[in-house]
Amino acid sequence: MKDESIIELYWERSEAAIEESERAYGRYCRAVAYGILRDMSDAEEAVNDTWLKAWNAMPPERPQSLKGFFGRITRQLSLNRLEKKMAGKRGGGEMALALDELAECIADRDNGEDFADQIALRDALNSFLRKLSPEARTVFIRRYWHVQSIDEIAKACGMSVSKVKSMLMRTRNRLKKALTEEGFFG
Amino acid sequence: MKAKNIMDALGGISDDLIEAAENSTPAKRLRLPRWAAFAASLALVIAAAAVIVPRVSPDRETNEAAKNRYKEGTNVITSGELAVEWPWEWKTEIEKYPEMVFEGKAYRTRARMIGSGLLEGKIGSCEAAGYDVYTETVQKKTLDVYAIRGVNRDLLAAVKFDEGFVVFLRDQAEMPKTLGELMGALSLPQTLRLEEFCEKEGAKTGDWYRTNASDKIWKALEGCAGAPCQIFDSFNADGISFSVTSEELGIRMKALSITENGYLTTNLMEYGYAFNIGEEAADKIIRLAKNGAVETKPAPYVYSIAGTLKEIGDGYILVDDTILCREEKDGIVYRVLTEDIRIRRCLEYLGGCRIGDLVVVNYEGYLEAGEEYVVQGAVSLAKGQLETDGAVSVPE
Repeated sequence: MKDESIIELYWERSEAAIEESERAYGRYCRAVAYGILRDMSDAEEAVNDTWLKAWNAMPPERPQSLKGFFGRITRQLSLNRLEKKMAGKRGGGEMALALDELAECIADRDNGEDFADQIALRDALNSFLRKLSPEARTVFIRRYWHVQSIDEIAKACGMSVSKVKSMLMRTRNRLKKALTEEGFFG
Repeated sequence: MKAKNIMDALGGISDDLIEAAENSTPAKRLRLPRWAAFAASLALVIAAAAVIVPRVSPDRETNEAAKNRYKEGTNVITSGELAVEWPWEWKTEIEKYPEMVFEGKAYRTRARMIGSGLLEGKIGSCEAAGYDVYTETVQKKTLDVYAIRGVNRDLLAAVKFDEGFVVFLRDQAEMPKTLGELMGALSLPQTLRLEEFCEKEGAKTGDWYRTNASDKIWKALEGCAGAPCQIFDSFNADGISFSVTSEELGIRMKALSITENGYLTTNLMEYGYAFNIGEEAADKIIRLAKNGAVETKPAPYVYSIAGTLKEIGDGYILVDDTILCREEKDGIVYRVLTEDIRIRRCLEYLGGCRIGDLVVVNYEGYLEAGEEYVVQGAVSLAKGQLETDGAVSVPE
């Protein structure tokens, strides 16, 4: 079923919407959730929550790409779920490592408080990513959007682990520079 | 700003950027249908990586020497593992079941085999599970669980498959409180040899060395047993980093680093652990490692050979590397054994390699250099391409 038809089902408040979403994008969302949560039952729950959230969002929303729309919801729900799960625990696996790495993109002079203007930051990231080589962009998105491990990226992209690491480091340095130049750090 | 702000904002980036990243897997390049490119990326998160036979190639040098016969610039680019989500029937049993539950606790495969001589005995049975993405069903199987000698079963255990024993790691294990706790739970001085290391200057990797001071280093680390476990502050401190491999722990080429600012950091349990051992102890250990160490070359993660596919026989293929040699007489014909399902599926399921093609074979077992060069433990085969600069690469 095409995206438009599935969206129509949501707008008609037909429960078939969820069935069709599961059929078309269940597998994809499960992969996104599993990448972050690394646990099949948690991933399953995140995907179920995705359909609920989509049900509440449409109407009024009419997403242009359902895959992107569902993927984003699943990712955010999985991140929230992981955060809750890891609260009070040390370690934290791939996500903790990825966050540690991203912390390198923040200028030393930054005050370390939550940054309120997420939309400005998102736009800056979009424009930054478009300027990267396709290879560097792929590696960056796999690491920080999908939260794949360095090994997984190396295997998926046919690169050595050290190449992935050095590529990520270069990209992070460039991101830090770009965010600094755009005045994100005070 | 916090790192999480960036992580959250990334969630909103344009769909086309995400889609492009997802579709850039080698699976797409293999001209599999579009859904398989997705399945390939799923394979990397759900299915275990190919099982690596824990044998160190005894003839790394032989293989290196073989390369000296090649034309100038010839360089076999080790291809990455094929990112293909194999149909259920083309998976090894070990690949089929990457998760298991034993005594109510979840474990995940380390996808590495362990010899029965390193096990203590059967301690029960588990329910192993795997996800078949093609039929979207969870498959389950009951298998026997064994304790690993010297290793706390709450952290690691071995599961018996038809193909042999495989190490499983406890999911979400609690972080050890001290270095002593980790060393004790895993008998690290016995199970983890500290032999090859490189110098680290920030993120930069320097020369590689081989040391025989493993026992002395562990002795020194026993003196730091009370070192508390902490969250990593930085991965990029100066110091030395050991490449560690252990059959008992089911790891290959993980890192254990000693940093000049007084930390032991390691990813041997997947999570990044850092123990504050103090600058004095770190300095002592770095000196112990460097004292008498000899320079060496880092071992490749995967070994490869390349050449022309000469013959596809019953249980073997012949690969001739004459095309890469300066002199025709220097060519070697490798007999690559293909009983293993992992190489057979490249030949039979993916297909695409014909007699006369230039191919690259990755292997994780031995290259026996006797009267005949026999490659054991081959795990993948892909069509190669001779570049103008002499490099053999696996086409994107």
